[in-house]
Amino acid sequence: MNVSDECIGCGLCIPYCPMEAISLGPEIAEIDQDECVECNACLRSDVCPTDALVEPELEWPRSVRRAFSDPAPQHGLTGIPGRGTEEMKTNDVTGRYHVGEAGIAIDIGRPGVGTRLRDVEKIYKRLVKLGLHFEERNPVKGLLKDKDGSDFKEEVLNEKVLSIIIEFKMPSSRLQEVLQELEKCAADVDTVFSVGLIDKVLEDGSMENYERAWQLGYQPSINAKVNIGVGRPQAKF
Amino acid sequence: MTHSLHRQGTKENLSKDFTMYCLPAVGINDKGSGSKRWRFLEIALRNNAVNAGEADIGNIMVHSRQELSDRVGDRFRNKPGDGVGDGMAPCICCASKEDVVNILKETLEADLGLSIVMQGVLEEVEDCLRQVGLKPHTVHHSLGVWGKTEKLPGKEILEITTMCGHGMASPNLVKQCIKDIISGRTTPREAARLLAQQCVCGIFNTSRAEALLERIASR
Repeated sequence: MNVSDECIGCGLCIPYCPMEAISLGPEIAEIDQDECVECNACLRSDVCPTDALVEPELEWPRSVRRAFSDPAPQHGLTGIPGRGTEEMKTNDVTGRYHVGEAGIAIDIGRPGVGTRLRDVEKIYKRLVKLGLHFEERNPVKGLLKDKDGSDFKEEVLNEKVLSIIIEFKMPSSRLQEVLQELEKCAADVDTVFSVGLIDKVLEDGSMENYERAWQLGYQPSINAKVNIGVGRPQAKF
Repeated sequence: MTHSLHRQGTKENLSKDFTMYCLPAVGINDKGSGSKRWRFLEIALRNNAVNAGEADIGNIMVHSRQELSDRVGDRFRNKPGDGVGDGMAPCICCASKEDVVNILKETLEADLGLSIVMQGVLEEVEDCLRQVGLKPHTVHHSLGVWGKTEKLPGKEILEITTMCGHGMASPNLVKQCIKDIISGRTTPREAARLLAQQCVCGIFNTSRAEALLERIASR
C-alpha cells in the first residue's frame, strides 16, 4: 500500500493495519513496506478522509503478498484462488478423506501474526521429507521452484504474507509422527501456525483422529467445522 | 477456507456463535450451482443471520441485506458455476441455535444438493443436526496455535479478532474500540459493527463481539 500527498496526517488509518505497518511520520502517514502484506485492510476500511491510501500495481515477487493476504479472490498468480482448497468442506462429494486417514491443514501466520515465506519453506521441507500426500491444488505449489521438489523460488523467501495454508493427508497411524514433527517446526519458526485435524466420522459417530489426538496429549478445541453430508452425488466411502 | 475454524473463546460465548456456508465441489457439481448458493444466502438472510457476506462483495454491515442478495444474485446469474475460492461461497453467521435449525430445515427443503459446512461448539452443532435428522459427516478440529505464541495479543483480544479468520479485524482496532467505548465515544454495538465491516466474508459475529466488548470495557 502507498500513501499519496493527499494525506493530512490524521492517523485514522493506523489501527486498521493488522501488521502494525502504518505509523505517523513528521507530516503524513508512513507505511513500512517490508511489513505491509498488501492485504488492503486499510484501503477497504474507507477510513481515510482524503482518499490518500493508494493500492499499487504489484509485480512479482511482491504480488504474492496480496495473493495470500487479501481475502478477496485472487487469480492468475498461483493459478488457484484463495489461501487453501476445498479440503473437507466438500468431502461428502469428493471423498477426499476416508476413515483410516487423517487430514491436516496448517495455517501458517495465523492468527494475525503473518509469516515470511522462508518460514513456510522450513515447514514444507520437513513435511516433504516425511513423504506425505500433499493437496495438489494447494496454492503453496505455485511457490515451488519445481512442483515435485521442496525448495521455494528464491525471490519469494523474504516476502511476508498474512497466512498461508499447507494441506496434506496420511494414514491415521502416522498422526503421532507428524504432530511431533510439527512440534519441531514450531520451535524453529519465527511465527505462529494454527493446526487443523480432519476426521471422516464413523457410522457410530466416533472420530478416530480426534480420539487419537487426545490420547497423544493434544487438546482439540470444543468448536469445530462440520461437513453435514448433504452434497450430491455422494462419494463412496 | 479454514477461516471459520480457529475461533477462540469459552464454551459459554462460543455456544452463541455459528457460521455456515454452502459450496459445490469443483468439477463435480459446480456447474449451475450459482443460483443454489444464492438461494442458501437468501434463506439465511430471512432467518436472522447476524452477519452474511462474500469476500469480494462485502457483508451486510456494509451493504443492506437486499443489496447483498442482489449483488450475489447478479454475479451468479452472469457467471453460473464460477469458481469457489474463498470469496465465491456465501458465508453466514448466526447467534442462536434456533436460527441455525430453521436455516437447516429450509435449506434441506430447498434440496440444493451442495455441501453445507457448519462451525460451532461441536456438541451444539450435533444437536442442531439431530433436530433435522442429520449427523456430522466429516469434522475439522482445531489443535490450537503453535510456535511463537508470545507474538499473539491477549486472550480477550483474540476471542474477538479470530472471528475474522483472515485477520482483517486488527488487534489495535479492537483496542481502539475498547478505549472509545470506555470514553463514551462509541457503544459496544457500534464498535462491533465497525469491526465486522473489516471482515468481508461476513462470518464476524456482531452479537458475540458486542457482548465481549461490553464485558471488557465494563472492567
